[in-house]
Amino acid sequence: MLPALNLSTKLSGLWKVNFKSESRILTLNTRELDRPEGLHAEYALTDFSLVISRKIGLGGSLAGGYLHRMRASGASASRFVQQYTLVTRSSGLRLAHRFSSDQTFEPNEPATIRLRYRLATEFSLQGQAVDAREWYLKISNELLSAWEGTAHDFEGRVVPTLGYAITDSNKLETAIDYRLEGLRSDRLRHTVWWAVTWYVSL
Amino acid sequence: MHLSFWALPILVPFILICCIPEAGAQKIEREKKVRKEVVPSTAIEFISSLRVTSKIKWYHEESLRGISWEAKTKVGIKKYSIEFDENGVLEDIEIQIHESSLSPEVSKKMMNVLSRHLGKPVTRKIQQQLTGKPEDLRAAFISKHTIPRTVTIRYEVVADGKVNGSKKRYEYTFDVYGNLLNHEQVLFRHTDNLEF
Repeated sequence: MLPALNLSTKLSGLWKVNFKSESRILTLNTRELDRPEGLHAEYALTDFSLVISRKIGLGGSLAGGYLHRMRASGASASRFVQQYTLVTRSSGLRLAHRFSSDQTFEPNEPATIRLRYRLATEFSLQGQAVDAREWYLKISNELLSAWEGTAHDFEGRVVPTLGYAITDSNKLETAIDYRLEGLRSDRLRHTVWWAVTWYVSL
Repeated sequence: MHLSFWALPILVPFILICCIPEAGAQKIEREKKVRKEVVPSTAIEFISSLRVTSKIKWYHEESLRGISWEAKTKVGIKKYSIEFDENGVLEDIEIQIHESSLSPEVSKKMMNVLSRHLGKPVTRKIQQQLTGKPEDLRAAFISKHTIPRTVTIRYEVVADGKVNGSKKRYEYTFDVYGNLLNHEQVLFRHTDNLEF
C-alpha cells in the first residue's frame, strides 16, 4: 500500500513549491497465506520530497527537488529529482507528459540513475471537465530506464486511478499501481501497489 | 461480516471523503452530463424541431448566473452548443467556426485587438453566438448559410498570448462588426495530480 499526502502552494507568480510524503506498507506476506491470520501490514519506508517548480508557458512546468527516504530498518537514501511536465487540454480530456530524471544515493549501495517518461490521461466521469464534487478517471503509463552502478534495466508501470475532486484544490485518489521490473533481464518481477493519495493545493 | 481485501481500495477513500469537510465558501460552477429524460420538455421540443440526426449530449450547468441546460451536437464538421435557461427556454446557439468564415474586415479588427492585448496572439477557438427568438434561431440553424436579420450575432474568441511577461489565455466577446465587448482571463484547473 502507498498512502501519500501531496501539498502544494504558490510561492509567487510562476513559482510553486510541492511537498509530498509517501509511505510504503507491505500488506501481503506470501509466506503466511496459508494461515488464517496471514494478512498483515509491515511498514517498509517513507519518502519525503520537496520540489520547486516554475511555470513555463501555459501548460508546461520545470521542476527540481530533493527526496529523503527513511527505511524501517533505519537506513536512509537521498534522491535528486528533475522533471519537465507538459499538460494539454482537449475536449474534456487532460493529457500530461512528464519527462524526469532522478539520482539516488544510499550508503554502501551503488548510485542509481533513472530516466523516466510518463503519459497520464485524466477525464471526468460526469461532464466535460472535472468540477468540484465529481468523480474522474486517470490512467498513467510510465517507462523507466535505470542504471544501478553499471547494471541497466527497464521498468514499466501502469496506474489506473479513480479520483474524487472535493474541490479543484482538494482531490483524493485511489489507484492500482502495477509495476513490471526487469524488462531487459530475464528476472521479471511483478509488483502491485494500492495507492491512496490526497492532493491539497494551499 | 467477511470483507474482501480488494474491497478496501473502494471503501477507504469513500469513508475518507465523507469525513473531510469542504473548505469554506466555494464558487459553484459545474456542469454534469445528464440523460435526456431529466431535461425540460420545452428544450427537448426545440431540439427535435431542428431535425438533427447526429448524437446529442445533454448537460446540466450550475454557475453564479444560475442553472442552465446545454445540448451539444456535431453536424458535419461544425460543433453546435444550444443553451436553455432553467425552465427550458432557449437562450442562444453557439457554433464553432474557423477564422476563414469571418469577413476580412471583421477578422482584421479582431486581430488588431488581440495583438494589442496579447502581443503575438494564438487563436484557439472562435464561436459564433446567435441570440433571438426561437423561430429565428431555428431558421438560422436549419438553413446553415442564412441568418435572419432579427438574430443578434456575436463572436467569442479564445486566444493565448503574453500579458505582463507571462503567457495567459483570454476569452474575448466581439459584436458582429468586430468591436470588443468584453474580455476575461481563462483560469486553468490545478495540475498537481498530473505533475506529482
